[in-house]
Amino acid sequence: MLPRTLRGKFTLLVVGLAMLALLVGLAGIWNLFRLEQSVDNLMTENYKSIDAVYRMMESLERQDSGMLICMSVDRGTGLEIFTQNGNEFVKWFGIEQGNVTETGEFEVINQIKQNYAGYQKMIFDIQGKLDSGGADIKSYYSETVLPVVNDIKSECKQLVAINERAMFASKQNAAESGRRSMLYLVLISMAAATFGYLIARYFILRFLSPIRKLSDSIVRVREGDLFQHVDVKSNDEAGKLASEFNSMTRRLQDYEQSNIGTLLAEKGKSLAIIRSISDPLLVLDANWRILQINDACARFFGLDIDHVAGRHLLEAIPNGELFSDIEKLSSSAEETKGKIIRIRKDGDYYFNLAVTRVNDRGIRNIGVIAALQNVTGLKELDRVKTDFLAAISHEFKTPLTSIMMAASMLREGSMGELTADQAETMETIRMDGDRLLGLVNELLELMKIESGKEIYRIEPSDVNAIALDTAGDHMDGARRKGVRLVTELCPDLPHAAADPGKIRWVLNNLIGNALSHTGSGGEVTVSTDLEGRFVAVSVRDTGTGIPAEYQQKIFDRFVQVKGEAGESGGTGLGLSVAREIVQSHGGDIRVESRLGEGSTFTFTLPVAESDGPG
Amino acid sequence: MKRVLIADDTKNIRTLLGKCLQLEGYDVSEAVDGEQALALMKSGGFNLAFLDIKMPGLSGTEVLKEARAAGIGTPVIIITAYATVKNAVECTQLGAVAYLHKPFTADKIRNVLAELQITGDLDQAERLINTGRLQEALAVLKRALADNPLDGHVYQLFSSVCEKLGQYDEARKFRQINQILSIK
Repeated sequence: MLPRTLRGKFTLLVVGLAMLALLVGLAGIWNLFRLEQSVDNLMTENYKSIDAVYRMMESLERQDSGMLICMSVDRGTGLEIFTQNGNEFVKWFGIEQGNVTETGEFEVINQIKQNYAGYQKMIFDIQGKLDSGGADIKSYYSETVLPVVNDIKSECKQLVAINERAMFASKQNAAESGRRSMLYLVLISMAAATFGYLIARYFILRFLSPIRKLSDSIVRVREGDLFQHVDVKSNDEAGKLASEFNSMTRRLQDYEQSNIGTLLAEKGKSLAIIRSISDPLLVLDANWRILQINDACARFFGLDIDHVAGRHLLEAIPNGELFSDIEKLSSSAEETKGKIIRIRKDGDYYFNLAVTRVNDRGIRNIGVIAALQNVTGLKELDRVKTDFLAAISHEFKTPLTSIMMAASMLREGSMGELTADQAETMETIRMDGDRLLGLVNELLELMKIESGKEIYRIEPSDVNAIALDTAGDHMDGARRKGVRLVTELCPDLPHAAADPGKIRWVLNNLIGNALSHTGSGGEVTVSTDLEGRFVAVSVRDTGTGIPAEYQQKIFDRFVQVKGEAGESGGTGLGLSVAREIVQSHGGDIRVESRLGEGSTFTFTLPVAESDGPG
Repeated sequence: MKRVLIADDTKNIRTLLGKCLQLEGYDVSEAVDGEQALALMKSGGFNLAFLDIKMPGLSGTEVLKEARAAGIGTPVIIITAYATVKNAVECTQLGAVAYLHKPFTADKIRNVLAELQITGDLDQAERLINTGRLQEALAVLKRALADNPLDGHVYQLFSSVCEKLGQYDEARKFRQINQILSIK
């Protein structure tokens, strides 16, 4: 029965491995102990035997000496020595007899026992012979006693040999058994290591398999496959995690299923809305991939509505300009931006491109919607209007020619002198002819700018020279009106990036306006200055001034200051055209005015790139 | 008397331009469209022609083109209400001597005529000098000098005529006058 927690399982595994190590250790210890025992036992036994045998031999030698002393020197002393060493011999023989360990040892001992018993009796024979005078005592000793002594000696040596052999054998034995023990230990260790490794691996894999399954499932859920069930039966932490995970995915599935109906309905609705829009519409994700287009878009760009989703915008519609416009508009600060763009297909099409960013809860940009409102019709209408106005303006020129020719010829008197009244009448015709001509020219200028046909020839231009020249053109007119026309030019003025012809037109217009609004004795000043990276040209007058409510509108088309229109001779177009021209140069035009004190019109032009100040 | 042709489909322009030119001493003929203008030019004898560009049928430019193709060298002044650079260049290349924008005044017409008179006289004088008709050239130059006594070119031509006539002192004098005028 495995523990219930992962910790318990791993602890058990570790404890099991420790036990295994302990087991191997114990086996080693036991082996060592056994080896030592056997060597020890054998060696001591044999040694004890050899020791005893040597002492026996020593005692026998002394008995033999005792016998010889008894025989030839002193009977009493010899007998004493003999008896004493006989006891010693018997003691050691007893020890040896009790320590029989080797085969053959027992037989030899019995032999010694018999021989020695015979030898012990011989001392009595010697005493008998001594008592009887000791005649043949020497021959008895050498013929009967000495062979027995030698036999015993040789049998003792035999015993030593037996025991020495045994000692040697046991030494061999010990070495052998040591080698065997080592082999066993090696085998046991290897077996334990292998077993330990296998078991640890098995259990770790088994314990961790639920976690691996879980992580695989989590990856799949992240990829959007919510229908994940992890089959884990264990009861530990991993099992709990798995069952929690399963209930979570179940909840997610439920949630998705409950929402999916509403979402599908919503999607159907928005799809219907998108498709029903009659102008091309593109829904893109944040990476410019097409999510959805409508029928109008598919039709216009010749796309297959069902197969275009997922493709990059540029891949589907290879129009770099459109792409960069959408990109630019989508990155601008405002949420919805519009721009008129032109797309060439079988002719020019104009669209008001509106790009709306789709934000995820106002933070992350998750896509853009590009709506192309087809304004080709409006543009066409606009063009027709421009063309019409231009044609009308041109048509005015021919009758105007007759009027101006007739008036000038009559006034010159080449067809008869006129009376003062007639001359005055003719002068009004001439003046209004001039005014009409001015209107026609301004209209044409405006139409040219509007139709986009106007081409500016921007070059580094000397604004001071233009100002001086233009003011010069007005000198006569100013003198006639009794107005002082002066110039205040900034020295070292850098050249401006401008079309000199157009700038002259603007300045002409401003000076003309200033003169017509300034009465006799007044002053008109044309001045130039440097304002940062701009050249500024101002026309200041001491005329009637412009009411505050008109100062904002004065640059709009056909706006004239009320109560003055009749006198001014203006058309209400000049300032509008002037502003168009100046703004096309990248500059601006403004007015400061006080009623009764005069007005100052100032326009700016960018300094030419190659031309710094000074 | 010099003869001038006015080709314009607008009656009032024909009338007024005609009056103006009559006062300048021209014998004026009128054409109401391009075909008529071309026919008149082909009949010859015109010293000058005013051609409106926008006419029914043949345009002024086409009349000029056809006339030049037919070898008619009459000086032509183009009149137009639709002035474009392209058309102006085309007409100048076809040899139009002036390009007149509508609307214009009598003053403007007189200025153009005066300029033409001088250049016309000088061209004529130069042609006469080159063909060796020196006395005739002198007469033309005298008229040109009366019209415009400050044109250096006139004196230059005088000096070359004098040189050819062997009047070297005179020639030198005229050359010096030319130099003085060109300094100015």
